[in-house]
Amino acid sequence: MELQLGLALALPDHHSPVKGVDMNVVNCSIEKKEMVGLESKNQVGNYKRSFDVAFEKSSSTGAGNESKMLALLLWNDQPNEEDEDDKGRKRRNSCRSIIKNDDGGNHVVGWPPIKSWRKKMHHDHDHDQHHQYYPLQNNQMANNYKENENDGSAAAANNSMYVKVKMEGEGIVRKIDINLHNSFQMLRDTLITMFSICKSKEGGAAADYILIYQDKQGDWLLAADVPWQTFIESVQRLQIVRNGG
Amino acid sequence: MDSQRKKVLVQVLNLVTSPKDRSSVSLVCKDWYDVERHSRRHVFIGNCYSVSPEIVTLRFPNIRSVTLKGRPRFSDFNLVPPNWGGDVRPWLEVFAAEYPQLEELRLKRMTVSDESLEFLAASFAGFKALSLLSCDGFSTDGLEAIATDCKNLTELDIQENDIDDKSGDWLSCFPETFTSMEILNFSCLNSDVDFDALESLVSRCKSLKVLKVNKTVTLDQLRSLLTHAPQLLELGTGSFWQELTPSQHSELERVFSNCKNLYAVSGLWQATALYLPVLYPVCTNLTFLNLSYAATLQSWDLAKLVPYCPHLRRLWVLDTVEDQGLEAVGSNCPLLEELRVFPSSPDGDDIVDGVTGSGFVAVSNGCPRLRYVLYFCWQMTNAAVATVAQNCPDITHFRLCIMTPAKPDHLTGEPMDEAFGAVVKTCTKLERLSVSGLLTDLTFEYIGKYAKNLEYLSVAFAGDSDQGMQYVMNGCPKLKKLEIRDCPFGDAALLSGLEKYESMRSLWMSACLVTMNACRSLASKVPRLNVEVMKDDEIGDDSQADKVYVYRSIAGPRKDAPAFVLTF
Repeated sequence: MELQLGLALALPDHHSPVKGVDMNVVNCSIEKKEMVGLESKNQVGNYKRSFDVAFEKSSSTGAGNESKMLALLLWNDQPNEEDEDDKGRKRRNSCRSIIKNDDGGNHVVGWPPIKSWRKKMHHDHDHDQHHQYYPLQNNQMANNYKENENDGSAAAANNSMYVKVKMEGEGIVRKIDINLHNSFQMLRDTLITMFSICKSKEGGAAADYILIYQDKQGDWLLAADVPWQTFIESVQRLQIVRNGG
Repeated sequence: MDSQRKKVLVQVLNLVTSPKDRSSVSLVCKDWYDVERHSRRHVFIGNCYSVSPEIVTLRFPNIRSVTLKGRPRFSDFNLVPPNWGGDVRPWLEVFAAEYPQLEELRLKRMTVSDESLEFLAASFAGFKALSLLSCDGFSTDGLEAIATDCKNLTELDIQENDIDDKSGDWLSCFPETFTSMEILNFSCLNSDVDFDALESLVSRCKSLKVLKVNKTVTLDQLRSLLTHAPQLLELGTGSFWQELTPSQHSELERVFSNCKNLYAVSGLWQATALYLPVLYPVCTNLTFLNLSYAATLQSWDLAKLVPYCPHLRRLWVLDTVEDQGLEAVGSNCPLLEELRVFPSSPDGDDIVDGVTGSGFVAVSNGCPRLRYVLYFCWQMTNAAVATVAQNCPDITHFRLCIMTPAKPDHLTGEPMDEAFGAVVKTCTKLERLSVSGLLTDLTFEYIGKYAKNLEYLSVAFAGDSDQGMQYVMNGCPKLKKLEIRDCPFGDAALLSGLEKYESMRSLWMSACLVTMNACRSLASKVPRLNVEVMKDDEIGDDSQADKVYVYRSIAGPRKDAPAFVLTF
């Protein structure tokens, strides 16, 4: 079975077919473009910084030029193998089951085999999750947000901007209202509180994490590399990844 | 046969209910065939195009209950274009003439229009039970007709359907005099129903055994419903999150503790640790718990819950419970027979770790009675699967979906052949198998060689050559359904099943390497097969058969096939 990676869609996405090809597997030829993905298992090199630094630094140091990777899972003869079919097997380009998806996922038609009503249910759930931002132990934070939502001005309520926040290693995606914050420091505090409930690590935990965000073009960038205003205007979703040094 | 013997035979046959057994009875001799066909009350038609309604009604004149299935299963995953077929209307028209006393209709993957539902409600005075699973074509208007006109309805079970949910008004159409409902399931509908109408319905239907509401019903409303129906056997809750006052909360606990007969609970949308404890009083008796809609349930929530459920036999969860949640299941539910783990983020848009081989092994360690497994994961190892098979040799349904296509063993990087090899070698009662991950022809060699009881096989992104499919066609003696997508199986593979297809219900092959010529050849060699090809306009190559659906039929080629279905 030969798999070939050509172009790739936006990263990081653990679960694109790209990941299905273990780098060490024999017979896989992989063209690896520059990877932005800050998976803890892969060394990324230039982009690792501590959580603190990530928030405080505002000047770009070239971290904004991550390239997008586009990936299609192809069932392909290797480029020059047209005549080398030594086992007499007919192989042909059978990539038609793949759809390229511009918003960042890599989607094969009808795969995984989940009924559409279940998929719909998960999308609906995202809408329903408005009242489920935090585990209920954290009443303090929940009240904080309730106050903001109920602070009388309809404008405030209407200006809520919810983005998903995913922490590496966490099964659940949470949501926060970006517009309730006005600085990276504030955002950092919120996130630390939100996610430290789930982690048993204490103390220096904050230094081990990096915050990245996906902008409107689908690129993943380091959060602190842009001014706060730019960040707010372009952030689509957030991710906290471990500084896998 | 004299009438005395006939009477005895009829009495005996009344106790023989499985379609397979009745089929065997009918083959004994002409007299038995005759007695059997007159005394049969229920007919199961696994493929609506394998037979015509005229043939069915001619052979079985006294049917009261029909189960009818339409589209191929891969239509659930959008692999079958819309308007493919499976319309129930032609069947209803014949039934209206020949089975005026029809009481039960169970449809799966059929197209059902509102007009058909109206026709149904008008045609069968004694109609009792309607079950629609994965059907399409109707709206809540059609349900209004059923509610209004079926005066003796005992069962209305609407599941997983793709319908036009206009409003919840249909529920208000049950007349005040209507009291016969026993099974009511509308959990897949999204519209609000009139709660007063629902409450009144539940109160006056004293025989209600199964109630599954939709997620618009709140916790407090549920509390009220349960007050009227403590006799329930199965409950599907609505939303399980709401801000309740302390007194509402304790009242909720109290009504649950009054439900002494409850053995199955589902729904549980948005269930969290806060309200799950109200279930504790019923947990001891629970045999089926469906948490697969509880998207916020995490491993520790599940770990707190399962110690209260020692008699659990069937558990459905989302992969948000992770391996730790499954460890808790393994430690607390020794009687577990069925586990289904669904993915919370199937498109991979949200990064979710989900469950792995470790959780799978943990369950198998604690639950040796496992028989049915459905497991969606992002990674797996051969060793884990082999261990599961060793721990649970009684498995009859093994469906493993590694969601990244063609993914190798997560630790070793090798194909997953040995995983499925272990399953077919160890689990000798295996009836159903779905494979995934990186697989070579070796997997199919194992399947053909060892899976002697296998009836249903699903394959995707697997295999190296025609030989793979040939192993299966030459091997599995009991194979009934074979579904294949995106595999390098071509004409030789298709034709290797020549002798087998008439003993199978159907074969599906899509995005493989089959040509039109091979389909033509198959059709000419085995006339009692319908060999159908669905043309995909986007693919330019006319010689390739994009989607092949082959099934035995005594009704001949379809008369209602749309333009994109070619029959050879």
